[in-house]
Amino acid sequence: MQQQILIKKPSPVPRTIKKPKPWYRSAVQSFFFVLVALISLNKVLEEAGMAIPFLSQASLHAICPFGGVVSIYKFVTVGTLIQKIHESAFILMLIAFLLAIAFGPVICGWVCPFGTFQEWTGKIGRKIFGKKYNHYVPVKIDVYFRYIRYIILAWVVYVTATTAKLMFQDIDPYFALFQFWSDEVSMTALIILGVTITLSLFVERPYCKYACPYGAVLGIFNLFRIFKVRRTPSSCIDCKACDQVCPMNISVSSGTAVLSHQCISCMKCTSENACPVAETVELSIKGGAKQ
Amino acid sequence: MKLKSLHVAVITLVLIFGGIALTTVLDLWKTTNDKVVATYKGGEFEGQSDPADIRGSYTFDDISNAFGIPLEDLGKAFGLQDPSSFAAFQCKGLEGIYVALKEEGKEVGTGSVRYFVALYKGLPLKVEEGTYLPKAAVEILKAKAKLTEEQIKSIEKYSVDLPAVSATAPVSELAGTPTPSPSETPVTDRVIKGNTTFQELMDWGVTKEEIEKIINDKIPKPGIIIKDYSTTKAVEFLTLKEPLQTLVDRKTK
Repeated sequence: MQQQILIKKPSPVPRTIKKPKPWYRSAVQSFFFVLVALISLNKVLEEAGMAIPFLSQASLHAICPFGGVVSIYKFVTVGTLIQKIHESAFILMLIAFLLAIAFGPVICGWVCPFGTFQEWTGKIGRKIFGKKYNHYVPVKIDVYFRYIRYIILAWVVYVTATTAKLMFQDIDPYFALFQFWSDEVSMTALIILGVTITLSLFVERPYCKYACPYGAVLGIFNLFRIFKVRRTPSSCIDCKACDQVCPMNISVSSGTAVLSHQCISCMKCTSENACPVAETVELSIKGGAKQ
Repeated sequence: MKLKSLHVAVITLVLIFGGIALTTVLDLWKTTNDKVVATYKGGEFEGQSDPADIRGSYTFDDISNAFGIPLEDLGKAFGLQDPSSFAAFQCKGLEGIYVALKEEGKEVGTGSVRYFVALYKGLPLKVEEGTYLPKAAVEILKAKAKLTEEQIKSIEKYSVDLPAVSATAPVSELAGTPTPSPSETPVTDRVIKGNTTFQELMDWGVTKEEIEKIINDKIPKPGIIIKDYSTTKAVEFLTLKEPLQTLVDRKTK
């Protein structure tokens, strides 16, 4: 009843109102982080004859959907996948695309262990720098920097298509993080991982924002996904809480639906989380949210 | 229609694990290679196994079965000593064993096995630059494969002398000689390797302009490793290494 009154007569809502934050996303993120870490470890344990029972002994490449993306060219032209990539990566790529058509890049915001790792590192930065955290890069430059990941994507796809090798492995900080003990990890990848960790102390998800080629692919789905993050202007009190909480610095309050290629569908901006007004920022299909 | 985060969590988990379960039932979910070598899709060799599809995870036994090459030939060709280890030896193991060669820009690895198999069976293959064959492999090919004069010249040119090794001992360890630091590098050892930087070339007397003329680009940073640079430019390391090494040799004389 109280919520209905808020909707009909939007009035400033005290910012101090506390509501329980859903823990589902954190739980899903932690689950996938631990799962991928254990699978990476299990591959080593298996070689030593001490594999964890009932846990996959797949390689990291076999469970990374981006391997499917970079294999598309070879799959279409030759009918086989590139070295180190298996059918499982292709299947995960298709599942990720299905999810992205429905909800956008939920793989980035909910599943990707490297995104989760950056978020966890960022919590240290947030404690150190407070409100300044995640606002260091000037907007004028930042807007253009966000497209760098498309240049990286084009380069990775081109190099993989011409060499039929998994060249991205040599610059992949995700692979470096979960295989840092392996001699397969290049020094370049370890340096990129170190830079990402350092930058995470100042900027939230720096690799996702500026460099991740897979995030670039999934980000395109934000333009036509079925369920979008929609804002209802009639009940919005313009408090900008949604903008402030967005890890990707998207200005949610300036439109009625989030179409930015940077959205990772984390739902932090919604009325379930940061938005203090009920049913104002929601994940919905067109017409689902009040206009 | 509106969704809460709980719905997204459940749908995400159901789609991912449901998808995996469904494709497992349909026998489509594979996290390892099934060791079935792809075949040529057309032309004279249509239907025959294509050596280009040999993966690092393939054992010599897999290759022997797929291409009908005796295990003994494979093991001896690639310098393995213990015949009992031939069958289970994985191609990717070669890169670890001959790591010292890789640092010189010469690779004896999975690509070499593909090359050996293709020549042994007379099958077409696009060979990557920098792929070398052990001298033992060259001798086996000369004795058992039908090679043209041109092919013999080519494999002799791209052959390396390998010490006979066990499946686990790296050549660098067998050599038993410590690697000098770049500053201590004797003039005679100025060889461009996988970890050589542009700065080292300049330290050896090559000018920045000479290097930039060869790479047809500005040096991004003197400290950058030449091999890493070639990777970022999608250029084979060997195509940069050879002219740069000629320059180094000229300066050394």
